[in-house]
Amino acid sequence: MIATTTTAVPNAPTLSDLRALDEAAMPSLFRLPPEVEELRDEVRDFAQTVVKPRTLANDLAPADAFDWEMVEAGHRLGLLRLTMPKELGGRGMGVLGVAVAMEEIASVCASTALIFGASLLGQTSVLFSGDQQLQARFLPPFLGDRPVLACNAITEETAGCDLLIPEHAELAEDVMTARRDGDHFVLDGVKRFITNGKVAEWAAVFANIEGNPGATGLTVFVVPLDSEGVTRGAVADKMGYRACLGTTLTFEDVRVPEENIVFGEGGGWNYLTVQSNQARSIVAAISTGVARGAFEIAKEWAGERVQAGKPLYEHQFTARKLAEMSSKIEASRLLYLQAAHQADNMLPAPVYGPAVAKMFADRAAIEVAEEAMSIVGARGYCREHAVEKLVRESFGARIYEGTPEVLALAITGALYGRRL
Amino acid sequence: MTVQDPQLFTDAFRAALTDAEFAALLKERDFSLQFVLTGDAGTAFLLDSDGVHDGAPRPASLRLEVRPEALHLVLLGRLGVTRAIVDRGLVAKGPVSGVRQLADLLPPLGRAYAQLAPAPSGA
Repeated sequence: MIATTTTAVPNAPTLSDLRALDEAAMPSLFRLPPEVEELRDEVRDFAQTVVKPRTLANDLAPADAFDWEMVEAGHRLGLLRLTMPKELGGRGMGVLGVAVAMEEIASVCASTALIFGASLLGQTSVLFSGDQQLQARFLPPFLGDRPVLACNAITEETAGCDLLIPEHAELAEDVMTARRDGDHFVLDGVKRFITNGKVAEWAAVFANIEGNPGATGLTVFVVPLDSEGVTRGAVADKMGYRACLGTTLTFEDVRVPEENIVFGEGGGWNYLTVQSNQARSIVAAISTGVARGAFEIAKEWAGERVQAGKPLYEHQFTARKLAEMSSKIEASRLLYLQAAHQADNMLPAPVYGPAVAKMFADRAAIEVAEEAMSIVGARGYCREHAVEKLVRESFGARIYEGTPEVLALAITGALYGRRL
Repeated sequence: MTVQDPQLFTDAFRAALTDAEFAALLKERDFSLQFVLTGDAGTAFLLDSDGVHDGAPRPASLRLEVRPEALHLVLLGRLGVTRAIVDRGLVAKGPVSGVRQLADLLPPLGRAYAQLAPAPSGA
């Protein structure tokens, strides 16, 4: 039987409150630009008032359920056009702004953060290309009244890391092919676990130009997902990240005009490296959010729950856990902020900082979520408790946008001067 | 002069500054570009509304580390800036908004450069 004696600690500040108190004394190096602070506050409100109340229901819903209402609310806030320049109607944010926004959403629901994050990632190729014709064709839908999503289609049955590590290019097997046919290319192959694949309007699809060994001819194509020959498969029934839909996308003789190529024939690898280095600080921010969400629940519980006549946080063992958890969150945040700042001030973004940030934050999220569950105890182990969901989601980010193994190669590659 | 010769670029950029509209644009935006030519050329110069200056006399709005061959192609409009960045022929250091401003600044620089640039091989 579970004992239920609790006592509230009134007005205990959250980690965010503590950070806000410290901000006045922070040197500019550690302060967010005013426009990013403003965005953070708006997104925090969205996360707390719109996302949080729906989180549990979305997690427990069938695998293929999708909460368009929530996405629409985010769209009204501008989350689907976050990185578009203001002159195009977007919010003009860089990697730093996106990362800070993603931490806020992930602190209540990482999978909701990924819905927006994956769409922004899909848009990145078109935005970054500077190709005005492609931008005119594929960006306006994100500015309309109706929420529209994009996605990024890389992973395949036989190629996950083989399409993330440039040295693997020649060794990749059975990668989706693109065969030239006049002024079109014909795409054939299957993409797996594509976030937003079920609901996106178009995808940035990575395919190997026929005749190139392995994936050495990797090329980015923008493909409307209502094209003839595209089939959206069943939604993966995932352990976590259930609010966002990971889907198989099958391409059978899909004709794509050559003007839909981004960065030229064979430009896929170089672009993929740039994109990954930008995206990793954002994923590190999502992991930081997961850790923060779990920590706040554990902290609240440790302040309320009384054992042996005093709240848990006054017991040294729990105090040590809480202190280490908050230290890991602060360190994760500093690393991702630094990496995002680098990505906003250097093109192409560097390899090292974002990889280090993601590696640390992904691990910290798992450790903090696990400790949170141990502090909350039996309640936290139940399906209807947010900590249980956060534990499951904490494992997600270390799979996408670079596993620890891929990141280790990127980091050591930078340390030894092979990849900068 | 060959593409490898840094003076080709500095001469062209000085010529571009004789275009009053271009010089005014740089001044109005208080925008400066530092070019660091990598490889054997190994030199740096800064372009602002006052002229072309050797080295790094002051921090620039945007610093471009670029191979001379890539800069040659970018100025002639044969290679897009973002493609050059993706291919790592060009590294831009500074706010990303500065890279966007390049779109307005490159055409006048390119026109001046085209007057001096060596003819393509085989031409």
